[in-house]
Amino acid sequence: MRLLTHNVMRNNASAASSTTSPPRITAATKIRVDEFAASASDGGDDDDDEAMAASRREVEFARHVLPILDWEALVHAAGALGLSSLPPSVSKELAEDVGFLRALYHVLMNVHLVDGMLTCEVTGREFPVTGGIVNMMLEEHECE
Amino acid sequence: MKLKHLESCLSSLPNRVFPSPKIELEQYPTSVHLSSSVVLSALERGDAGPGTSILDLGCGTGMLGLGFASVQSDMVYLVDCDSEALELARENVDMLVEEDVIGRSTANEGGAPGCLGVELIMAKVKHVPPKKRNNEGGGGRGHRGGRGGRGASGKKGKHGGIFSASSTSQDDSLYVDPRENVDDGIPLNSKIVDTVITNPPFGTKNNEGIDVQFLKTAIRLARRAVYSFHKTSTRPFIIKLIRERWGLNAEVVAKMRFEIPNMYTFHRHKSVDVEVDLIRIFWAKEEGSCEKIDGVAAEKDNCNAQEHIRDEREYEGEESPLDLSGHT
Repeated sequence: MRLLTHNVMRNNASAASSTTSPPRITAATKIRVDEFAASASDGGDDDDDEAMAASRREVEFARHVLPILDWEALVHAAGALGLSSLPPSVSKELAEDVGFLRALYHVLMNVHLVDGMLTCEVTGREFPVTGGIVNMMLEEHECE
Repeated sequence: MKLKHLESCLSSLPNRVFPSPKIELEQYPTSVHLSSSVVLSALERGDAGPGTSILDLGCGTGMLGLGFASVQSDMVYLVDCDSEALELARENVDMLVEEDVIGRSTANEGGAPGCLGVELIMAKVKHVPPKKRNNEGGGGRGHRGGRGGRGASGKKGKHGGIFSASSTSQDDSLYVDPRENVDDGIPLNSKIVDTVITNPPFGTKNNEGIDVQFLKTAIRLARRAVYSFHKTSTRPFIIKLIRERWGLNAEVVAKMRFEIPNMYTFHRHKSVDVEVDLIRIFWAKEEGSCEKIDGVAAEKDNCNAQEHIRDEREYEGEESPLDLSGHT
């Protein structure tokens, strides 16, 4: 489960209506981080073009998704997975910075919680993560 | 991307059928041809491709969602309640990662990067079937009885549960705006993707109305458009629900035949042919609120009715008509 996916989760049950944040990461026993994209490859012009195009896509993706993110929840979740480099808030200038956006893309899309647990802090509802897949089917009464 | 290319890409997926389909979940394969046609229809309307994010609700083996991935949509979420189906989908994803269709900093032969990522999620759309009724309509429900009586044919109760739309008038939740954040079994925020694609269960006697529940959830999760399949027999009800109850736009993109395995032990035949509509629900102003149902186009000044609204008899797509079998 990517950090992006975690960030867009919401426990929509009415019992949880006092929170608008995703359930917290309460256990992270296995994490996977994919390679951070280099800005240009070592190959010839063609490779550079493709790498540039890929990089542009990623920057655009990060730019478009930034407004819908719960930033505080992202910082907290990244921290739970051992990444502490995110700033506490994002200024307008930072939001346009290509270096920042590429790093944001990496955090959102390349960091995977493979095995772990998410817990709704209001209701205690649990969302186990197994083999990279989050299980959103357990009801509250089925949790400890 | 041409139809043949997309079909060949999807044909290479290792899991295109269910080895042990679960009848109660209405698991049956969506054909490569059908999936490709749907994806290209979405692509030409700007609902797929680079710059868009997609969610396949009830993805099964992931055929539809992975079709969207294959045309370089940015991010695709595959959501299903069955862990075995998700494992089949995962293997399909792995194949596409191997082929560089999905993955970071890859490029297909056209030079453009592929799909950025596919995420698998296990979740189940909640559905509580309405209580069975003894007769049509109800005394104290004039407003809903009126809805049931107006317009739609094919909604008599005689076909029992097969017509999911016919007896849901007791269900209050139908009238709730689908875009409210509700506990529909999918704990994701609203409007997290541009386009939701869903091939919902059509429902049986025991879970009537589940197709509408899928539709509502799909609408909640989408920012721009929903593509959903519904029995042609329920078309008047569904279109009316979308346009009049929910105030959204709907177009019938294509009509097709699905070969659905029988779900009742007393059926003599192994499968039944069902006429199915692919309906596009959308709400962006710039699309134009073209309304077309049963071959009659509404008159709007900026309506591109000829371009992107197809009557099922006269579709002349570049690649192939969207009058086809949904079964492999």
